[in-house]
Amino acid sequence: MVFSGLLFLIFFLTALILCYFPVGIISGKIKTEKAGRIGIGIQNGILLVFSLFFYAWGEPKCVFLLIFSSFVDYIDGILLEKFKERPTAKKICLGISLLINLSLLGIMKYTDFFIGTVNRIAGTDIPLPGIALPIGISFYTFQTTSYSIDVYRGKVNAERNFFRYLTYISMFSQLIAGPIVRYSLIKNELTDRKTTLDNFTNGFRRFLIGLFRKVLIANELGALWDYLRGVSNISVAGAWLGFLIFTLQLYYDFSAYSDMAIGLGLMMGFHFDENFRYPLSALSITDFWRRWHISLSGWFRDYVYIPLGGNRKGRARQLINLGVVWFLTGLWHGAFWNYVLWGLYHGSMLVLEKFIWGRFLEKAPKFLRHIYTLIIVIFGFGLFYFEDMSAFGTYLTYAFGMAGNAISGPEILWAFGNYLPVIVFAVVFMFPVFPKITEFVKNLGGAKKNTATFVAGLVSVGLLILCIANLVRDSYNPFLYFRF
Amino acid sequence: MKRRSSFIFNFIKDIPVFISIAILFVFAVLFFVLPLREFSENENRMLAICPEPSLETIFDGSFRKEYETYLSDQFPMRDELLSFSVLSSRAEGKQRINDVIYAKEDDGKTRLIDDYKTPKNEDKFIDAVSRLYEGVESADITVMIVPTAYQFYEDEMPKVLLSQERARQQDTFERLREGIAAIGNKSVAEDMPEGFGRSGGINIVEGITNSLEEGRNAGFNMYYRTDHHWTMHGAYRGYRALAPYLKLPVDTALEDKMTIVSESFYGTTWSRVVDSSVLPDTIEIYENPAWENSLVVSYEDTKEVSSSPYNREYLDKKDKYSLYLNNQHSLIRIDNPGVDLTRTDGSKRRAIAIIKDSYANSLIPLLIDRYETIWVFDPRYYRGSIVEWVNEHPEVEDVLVLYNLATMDNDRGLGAIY
Repeated sequence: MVFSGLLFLIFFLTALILCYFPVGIISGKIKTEKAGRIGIGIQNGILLVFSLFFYAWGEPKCVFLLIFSSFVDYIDGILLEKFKERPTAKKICLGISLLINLSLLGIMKYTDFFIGTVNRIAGTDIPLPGIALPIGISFYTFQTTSYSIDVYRGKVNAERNFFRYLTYISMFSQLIAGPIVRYSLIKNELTDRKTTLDNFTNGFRRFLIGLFRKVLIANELGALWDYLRGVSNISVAGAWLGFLIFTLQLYYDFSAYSDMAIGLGLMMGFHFDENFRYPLSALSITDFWRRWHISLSGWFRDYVYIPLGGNRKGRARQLINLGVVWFLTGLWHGAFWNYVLWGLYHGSMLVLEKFIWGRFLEKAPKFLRHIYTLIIVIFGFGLFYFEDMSAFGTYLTYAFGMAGNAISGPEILWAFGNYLPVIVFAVVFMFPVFPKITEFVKNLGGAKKNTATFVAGLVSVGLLILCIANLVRDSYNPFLYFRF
Repeated sequence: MKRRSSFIFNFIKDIPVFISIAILFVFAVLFFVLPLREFSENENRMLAICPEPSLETIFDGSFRKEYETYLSDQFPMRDELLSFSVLSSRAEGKQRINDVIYAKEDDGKTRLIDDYKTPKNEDKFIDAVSRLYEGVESADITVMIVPTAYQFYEDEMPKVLLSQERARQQDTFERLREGIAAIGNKSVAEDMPEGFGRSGGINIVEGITNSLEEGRNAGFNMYYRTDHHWTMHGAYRGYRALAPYLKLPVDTALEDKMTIVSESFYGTTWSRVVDSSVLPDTIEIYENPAWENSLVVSYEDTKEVSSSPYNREYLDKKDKYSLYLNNQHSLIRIDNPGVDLTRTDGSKRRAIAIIKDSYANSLIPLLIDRYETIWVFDPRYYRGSIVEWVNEHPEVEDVLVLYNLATMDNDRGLGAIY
């Protein structure tokens, strides 16, 4: 199920609101500790049932894989804690957990990739099994492994209640497309959180913002990119516009999903970390990765880079570690070589910034730094888009005017004629403009502030209806990030 | 005082949240309360109903898909929401919405044109025609591929969408010739049908676009502005392009004898945008008063019989194009005994078999006064071999294959030709 679908909006969300919140309100009214505990227990139960349904709706078979994977780490967590004083046993336990989780991920996601690569190198002709990738496996595998590693490190206590653990892993808000929420972050809220009006309304507003960005911006950009992809003999400007549009689409699509996840979590009393902080306004690639899919880079930093030794074992070792991390980051995004290349491409840019031109970059004017970053990022997403390298090569010959194509073409006219409001909006709001606006409204005096808030509220109601109308128009709108 | 103003502010801030949630609830309730719609008049199709879940359909994912279709098909205020979405897209300046292109005519009227889809079945069609040619023993075959509105109204379309459509029609012609030539045991008539005549030859009608262009220059509308079909005038211009191949006489004053039967036609293209700012189309027909006494139109599948190729009851419905030859039938027989069968070369031909899509429905009335018997096959529904049928009916000397380029690409029923 996707958040930006009629089924989710009309049935799932309304049913969840109907079941979940009255429990919190009632247990909040009773005000005893016991009532609070029972209330959270019931709410967790409701959340678990809804989450499993949410997942099973799209993956009726793989929901069992999810439960199995959670169960392995649940048992493993308890064992890890039991063997606190026995390092060897602990290591074996962690090893088993990682082996099971990563091989499940490996088999479900990378079998075809692996066999395909072997076939190409060895010239063999082993048939590809064509396993369908279970939705969200890349995300929840990282969640369960982070839990086991954290218990191993003694950072968190093992969860004793399996259903609570399963509630955490399967929580529908971030199950399918992140953010990757660590157990340590929400373990307190799993047993103690409040249903408040503030959380509810703030969360819902955040959800709506995500919905608008997905349906009204990302989907439109997607349609424009589809059009540009189909233009034969595209001009140089058209090809680069295409790169930009795809980058914007990917950003809006993915960060909108995080917005919705964070908003839904907040409605229910969970506080997730931000996953995107205006990455397309970054001033260097290093900066970009502090802002793009933060929960993933944080995961790789804490569970791969630092355990490998990080930068503490000399320059050469650091370069190798970075290479491993960026190879894996790329591969995580999809089981094709272009993703690996994309990861290594970003890795090399980071290394170059770190050791070579970072110092000069810092002295350059801001807009130059921004343009530098955008060019690298946008070009990188070109690499990201094309799973077929030769198609990418062909596209590049157009992008650099080597296909005898014109500098500019009528497709530019079409793009701006049809999508100008969307493009302008997408470009303006890739900068941190929105917080500035809210800040500005906040500082307005009483009546003005009320009026502005009221108008914004009305607009948001209108936009919600428009979203529903657009979804009715094209009930088909898969999320880009489902490939991961 | 401070507390009160912050209360008001919070109230103003939160009210839209509750309105939004209320809207979601209203849709949910309406979905269950409103009666099930089985048929969408606007979209001219059956709507999905609630699928029955079973273990098998749940696990293979088909239940989920069907349920989601059911939800979007039965969604409350579906048509109104679609209009709203289109309205907002128009306000943004979009010229292509939901696969419909907004073209502008010279007089400023809006023309809706179906977006062109990548060809899918061209090869199948070519293959089917080649096999028809191979299988038919003595009747002459004429193939007529009508351009799409997308192709014909290039100059009215947003400039950017200029496509290789015209080239594609030519390309289809070429490949048809190649496909037919590959059969090798019969000769293909080049251009004009000189050696054509009861030898089992084949011809591909050229010059349709030019003929339509003439009609357009004469001030007639060749295609509906809200539907993907051609008008009666378009069909007439098509007939003029076809006539030399079948050696049929042309009545140059025929367009004056057409009558308007409806001025409120909104076609299927319009249905995808439900845009009330677009003007409705006019439907015209040509009728010969003599038909009333002589003509017998028999729908062989439903056993209905009529004395007119037009079914006026459709004029009260949305689907007005079905007026022509009563929508879809696997086989229609049209008898008009006593007509003048003389051809331009002096020969006489009594019967024709037409293999066609819905474009032909408006052209066939123009053939009624030229043949004693017309057989109309819709290979999507006809179960049986058309080749065998033709060979068993020696009085059928002409076989006409008439398709629109776009339907040809998307139809899947051509297999029945052989």
